Amino acid sequence: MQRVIALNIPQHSAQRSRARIALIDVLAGIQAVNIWSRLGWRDTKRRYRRTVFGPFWTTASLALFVLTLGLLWANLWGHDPKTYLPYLTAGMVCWNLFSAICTEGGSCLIVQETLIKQLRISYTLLVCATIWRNVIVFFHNIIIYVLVCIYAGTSVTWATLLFIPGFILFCANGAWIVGLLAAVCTRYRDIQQLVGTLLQISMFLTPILWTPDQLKGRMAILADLNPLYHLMAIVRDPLLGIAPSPMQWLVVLAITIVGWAVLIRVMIKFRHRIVYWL
Amino acid sequence: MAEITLKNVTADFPIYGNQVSLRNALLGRVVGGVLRQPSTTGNRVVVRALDNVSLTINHGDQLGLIGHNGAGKSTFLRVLAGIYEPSIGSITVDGHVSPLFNVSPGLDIDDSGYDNIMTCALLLGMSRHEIERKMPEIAAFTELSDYLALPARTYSSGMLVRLGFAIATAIDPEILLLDEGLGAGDARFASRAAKRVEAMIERSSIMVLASHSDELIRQMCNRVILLDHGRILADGPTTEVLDMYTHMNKEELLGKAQSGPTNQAADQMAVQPTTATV
Repeated sequence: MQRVIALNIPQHSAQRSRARIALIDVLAGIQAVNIWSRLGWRDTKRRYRRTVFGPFWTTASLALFVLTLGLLWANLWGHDPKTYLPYLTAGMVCWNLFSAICTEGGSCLIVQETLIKQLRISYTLLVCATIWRNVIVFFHNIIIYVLVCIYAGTSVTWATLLFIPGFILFCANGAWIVGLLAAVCTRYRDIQQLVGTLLQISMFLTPILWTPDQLKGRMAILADLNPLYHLMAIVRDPLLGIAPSPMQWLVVLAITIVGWAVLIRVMIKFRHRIVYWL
Repeated sequence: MAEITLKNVTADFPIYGNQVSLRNALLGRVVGGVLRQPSTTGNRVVVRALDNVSLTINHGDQLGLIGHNGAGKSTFLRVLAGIYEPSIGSITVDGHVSPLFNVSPGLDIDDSGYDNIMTCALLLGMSRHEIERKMPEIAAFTELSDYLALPARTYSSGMLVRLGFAIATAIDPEILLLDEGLGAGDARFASRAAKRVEAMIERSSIMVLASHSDELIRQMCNRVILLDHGRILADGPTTEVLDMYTHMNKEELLGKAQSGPTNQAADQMAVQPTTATV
């Protein structure tokens, strides 16, 4: 039968094949590009409706933040605005994506409760829709960066091409984070609040507003030990025309593999319970 | 050949109140682990919605589900649909399941009628190609003509029902699950709708319908199951089981008249504390 497999996870003897169902959920969910891209676009279109600028309002507020604070901090710390502004902007655009993914990740199954209880739908598909929606916003925000680059005269190099694998890896990490948060926050509703708090702190602890070489003495390991720093770096550095170090690629690759392994483990163990938690 | 087999299927719904959350899980762990108070570790109030249900649904069965509110009809359908996996027991489904519990899963009132047809049909498991092929026929059945290009928020509630109904009934179900039939709008539309549902049922190999309407069950089903407190009380030919149910209701009414409100408790779902796996 010709069917979209995303929604038709086979159901043969549920008890024994829970692991199989969970794996199919993940694989079929990712494969159902036509559905999750559609759901993601629909959310974006909704934000455009009856407003002139739509999602660009997020972009505008980010632009205002980056410009005013960027110029202020460049002055305070004695940075050259032409190097600091691109750095800050690239960092903030990436961080915005990361924090939006984490914030929305926790509720991505909860808000789709009706859908989940009416259809046999792949949860991973809903996770992908969440990522996709925020990726679209990211590409709205990237316009600020382009404008800043024109002002600062940042040049495009071969390393800029590394943005593509970097961004894909970044999103792959986003996916397991959203998947895990979605499962955990559906069961324990408090976690969502906790995530918000942690995100706020991490933004200041991760080199986004400041550069790692500003850290002095023993504090210098604060950047290197922070996985978020490496995750940010593989997208931000190519944007700035710098190639991330092989070390950073390896670290992120390792995080991706471990993260996905954990996600798949959790799905195998708890996928069948998630709907009962809603 | 489509077939569904349920073996000792039990579905327990854990009850998460406002208070049961991370705190309790943490406390439970600390208290249970360190101070060893077994009473707080795993015992949780659960509602047993299905209790040890075993049954085979064969090719060609048009199965009606009857029973009081809370007898487990909806849960039974959702277990068949694979939305809930049984807490205990197993279910084997041979064939493609199409649950139609609500006429428009995934309907977005901001989207146009055409966009909604595409999204909902994709979610119902149709392929893009199949939808494009069926689009003219679906559009014609809604009788919405030019309205289909407008956002669904401009539709009257009757028009929304027609849209959802046309999409839902366009599927070619192998195993069709219906909850309370499908609402159909105004009287003229209702007769066309009835024909369309009949045609859809004829295309299916197995149909399961939960309903409170004896008339509907009599019309559509060749086998009926009477559920009570999550258990199968009777299973047999339509007229036999329906007569038994009517008889039972009469007796219960008489019983109630004599013994007063005490019997009402039995009408509600059986709530029993059991150890739940969470």
